[in-house]
Amino acid sequence: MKTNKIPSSQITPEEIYISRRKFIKNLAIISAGSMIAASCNGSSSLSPSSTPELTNPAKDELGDPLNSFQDITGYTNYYEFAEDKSSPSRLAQGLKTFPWSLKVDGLVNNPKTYFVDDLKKKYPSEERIYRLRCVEAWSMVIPWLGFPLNKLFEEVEPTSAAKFVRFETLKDPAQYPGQGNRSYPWPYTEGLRLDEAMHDLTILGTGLYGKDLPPQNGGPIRLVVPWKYGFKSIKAIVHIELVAEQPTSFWMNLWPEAYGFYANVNPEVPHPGWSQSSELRIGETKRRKTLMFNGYADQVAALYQGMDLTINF
Amino acid sequence: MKIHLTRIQLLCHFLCLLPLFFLIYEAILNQLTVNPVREIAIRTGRTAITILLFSLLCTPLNNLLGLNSILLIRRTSGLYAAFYALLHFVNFIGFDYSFAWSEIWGVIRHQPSLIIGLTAFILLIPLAVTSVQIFQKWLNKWWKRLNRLIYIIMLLEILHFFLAVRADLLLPKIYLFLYFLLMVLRIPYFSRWKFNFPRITEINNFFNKMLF
Repeated sequence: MKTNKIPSSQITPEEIYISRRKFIKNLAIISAGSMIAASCNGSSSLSPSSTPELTNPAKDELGDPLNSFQDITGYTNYYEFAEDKSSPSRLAQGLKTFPWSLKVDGLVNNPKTYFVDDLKKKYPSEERIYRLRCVEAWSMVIPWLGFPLNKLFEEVEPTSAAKFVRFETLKDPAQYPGQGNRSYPWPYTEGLRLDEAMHDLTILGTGLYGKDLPPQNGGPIRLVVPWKYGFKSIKAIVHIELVAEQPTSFWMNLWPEAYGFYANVNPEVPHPGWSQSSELRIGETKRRKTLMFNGYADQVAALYQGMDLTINF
Repeated sequence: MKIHLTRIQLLCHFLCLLPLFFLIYEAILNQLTVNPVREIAIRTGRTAITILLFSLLCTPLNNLLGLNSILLIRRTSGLYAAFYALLHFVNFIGFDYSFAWSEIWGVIRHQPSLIIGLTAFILLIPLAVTSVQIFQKWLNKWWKRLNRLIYIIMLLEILHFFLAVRADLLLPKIYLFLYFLLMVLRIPYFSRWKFNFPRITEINNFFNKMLF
């Protein structure tokens, strides 16, 4: 299996790492200061604000600033909780994310069930600053923590019969009020071609902004595939299965004319309801042009060589 | 000129202005999510369709139940529906696409759902303009014919709604069902049906009361 290596400088530029080091240092100084201050005035609050305020905002490799922690955690599509984007932040707080087990099986030599905590210890977190382009034509820049999915696959060893990967979210209507709505094909499922899943840009996300992944953002573990529309990056995964046939995803099930298997960000292929040629970056007031493969064409275009992307949308 | 206002008219103005009030209130408090343009689009669109559907229900409700007070708010509610459609349209071209005309036209041209929505909006304009009594008299029987366009407009708006949602089709389906119910009630056989409930007459009298 050929995977496209991308220079690590394109994932997180060095100056951002350095500025982040400075930022963490400053945060430590501030929190130490606040601890001293707290011990002086007898306040019981020892911890600094739980929201990291970036005074020197980091940027993605195209030079665009990160979205704030508040934006990222306060505006999410999570139909298991609700159909609007604000209430998941509140409703998700009760989700029991520990312990969380993830089963990896199907066409593999070493099927295995992992605890997410063990996975995090086994595969050190890397920070990846990725653009997330929602199919609804808005986008954000998000500093994820996670590890490449291909590292996990090295261990479970897909057999030669494995051609696709099927992902599944937890099904538990007691925790997910939205799963009471029978008009949706629960549980949420997604799929990737094996070479897409093996690509270095594809990660299992376990955190953002240096913290554990908040439940409304798909915690404790989710997929992040930055060149595809956001809905491909399935949240709260409990099952990864290697299969021979192309799986059907949640959104394909609902409306195949609008949501294809590939769902690559493509400004040329509109949704039946709206154009995908431009998008609103959250925090900005003017639309910006949507980039082919969400700006990751150099790394991923080769995966689709010779394919008609208006048919395979 | 003396202005008369009945209870039902006051209620109509109140209910139709409520969504606008909430929109402005939440906008001032910065509560329209981090993507206010989308929130405004969803809310003004839903409100426009809901009020328009209500205005179409007025005539059959009067026919069936003798609820003639409701006829007093048929035109008002229709105008509110047009007003919310205008807000929806202005939000799209102004807040969403920053009046970039060539881009707007480029986007609409290739997008059947937007062509449908725009057509519905354009057709609403002559109806709103000719809703004043002078036009009603001047156009005479043509006024009634012109206003039958509303059935096409309603259908276009529901279709636009179906295409504009992500996949949550419940509300568009309910609206389509109500639309068909409404059309069935227009069939002469059904439109001759009459129900007499004393309670309805009471409600009707209550709503017909002049406030001043």
